[in-house]
Formats: sequence, structure tokens, C-alpha cells
Amino acid sequence: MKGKLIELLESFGYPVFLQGSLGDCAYPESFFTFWNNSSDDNNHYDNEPVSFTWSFDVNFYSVNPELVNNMLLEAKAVLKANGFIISGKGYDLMSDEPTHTGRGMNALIIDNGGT
Amino acid sequence: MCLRFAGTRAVLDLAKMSLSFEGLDEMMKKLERLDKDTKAVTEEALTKAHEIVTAKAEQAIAKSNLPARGHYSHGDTAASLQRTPKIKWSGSEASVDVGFNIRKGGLPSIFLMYGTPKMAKVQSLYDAFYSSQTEGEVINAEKEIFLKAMGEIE
Repeated sequence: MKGKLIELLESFGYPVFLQGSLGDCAYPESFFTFWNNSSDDNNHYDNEPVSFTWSFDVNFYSVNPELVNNMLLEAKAVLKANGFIISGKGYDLMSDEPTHTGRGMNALIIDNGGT
Repeated sequence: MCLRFAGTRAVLDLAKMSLSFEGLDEMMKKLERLDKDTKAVTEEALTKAHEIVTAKAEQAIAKSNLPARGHYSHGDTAASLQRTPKIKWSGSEASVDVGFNIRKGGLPSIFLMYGTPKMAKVQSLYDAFYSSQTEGEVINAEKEIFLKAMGEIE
């Protein structure tokens, strides 16, 4: 599911990073970050989990505040079209750099892959 | 969902948590038939829910659990945690505020809860409010209070 999320975010043409992973690197002009919060079991059969709910934070940062607002909503539409469950229109995030602003949303997806 | 946050997410300011679990309506009706004080039971359940979530948040922002073991922490975020349950009624629906008060120094809770591109989030703080484990604990505690009020458990 993480791979699917990254692939969908990369389709917008911006770099995608794990939240917290930039270290000493400079921020790109605009970029996505993500973080996997959990992958809890949903249903079980014969004491084995047969489906999971993955919970991701999906964030977008940019020097362009308007793009920050719009891109998050565009990403929401694409993720929803690909099976993600997203409620609301996101929330503001803090940035390490005064040049950038960010917004984020929580994206859930059911994984019926088993084990 | 038990942790039903109205409006924005908890750390962006205090959020409202209301009662919501399967079977709640039936339990309310039964309490009414038994002539019990449904308002008092509701407030007791919300107070317990607040206690569970707040204790988890408190633990998560202990200096030993913060980035750099709290070296950069001045305690403002911890001080802004809403520790006193304040039950609010809007018609027949009750809620209790949980989370950090941004106007009282809780702004860094946003860094901690969601991280930044250069700093990983404090997962335990996020989980205090949004994990399925917290949700399960809150629901079980609330149901227990209702069942006790109905005299079905001691």
C-alpha cells in the first residue's frame, strides 16, 4: 500500500519523501511527504488477519501557498479515485523553513491482501 | 468512531469528543426506562474518555519521549494540555474538549503530532488521539459506565 501511495503521489511530478527524512537537505520548491501511522487488522479467519486498514499522513509543502491548498485537494481526488478514504479538506502543517507552508490530510485504505 | 472530533484535528486547537458507540441509543433508552439520570451517566462517560486520552497524551509528551529527549522542550506544550474535563451540552448532545490549547502555548504540538520534513512525528502523541487502541479503550470504558448505571455489571 505504501508503494501504491508513493506511485500515485509521484504522478503529480513532485518529489515524494518520508516525513522527517530530509535531514540537512534543502527543501525542494514543492514536494509531498508521507508517514504510515498504522496498519491495523480488520477481520480474521482461522485466527489470521485477512484484511488491514492502513493509515497514512499525506502532506504537501511549497513556496507557493496557493499551490499548497490546491495540490492537496487534487491529491485527495486522485487518492479517493484509487480506493483511499479521506475525510475533510486537510489541515495546516508547520514547516522547518520560513519560505514554505504545508497542508496535510489523513488517508486510509483497506488492504484485503491477508497476513 | 468514538473519538468524534468536530471541525479541525485535536492539535490545531482543543477538539470536541462526544459519545458514539454501537448500542448507545438502546442503552440511553434503557436508562430512561429505569428512571436513571442519563445526563450524569453521559458526563461520567465523557469524563472517563477525557481521562484516558489525556493520560496518553501526557505520557507521550514526557521529555523522555520527545525528540532529543526533550532537550529543546520548555514545557509550554505540556502546560497547554487541557487536563480538566469541561463538559459542554448543545441540546441533547454532550462533548468534552481534549488536546492542546494553541493560545496557551500549544503550538509546538503540531510539530510533534505531524512532524516536519526534517523531523519525524512523535507517533505516540498521534496515537493518543487517533489510534484504534485508544478508540477501543475509550469505548470499553464508556460502555462499562453505562452497563454499571443500568445495573448489568457491578
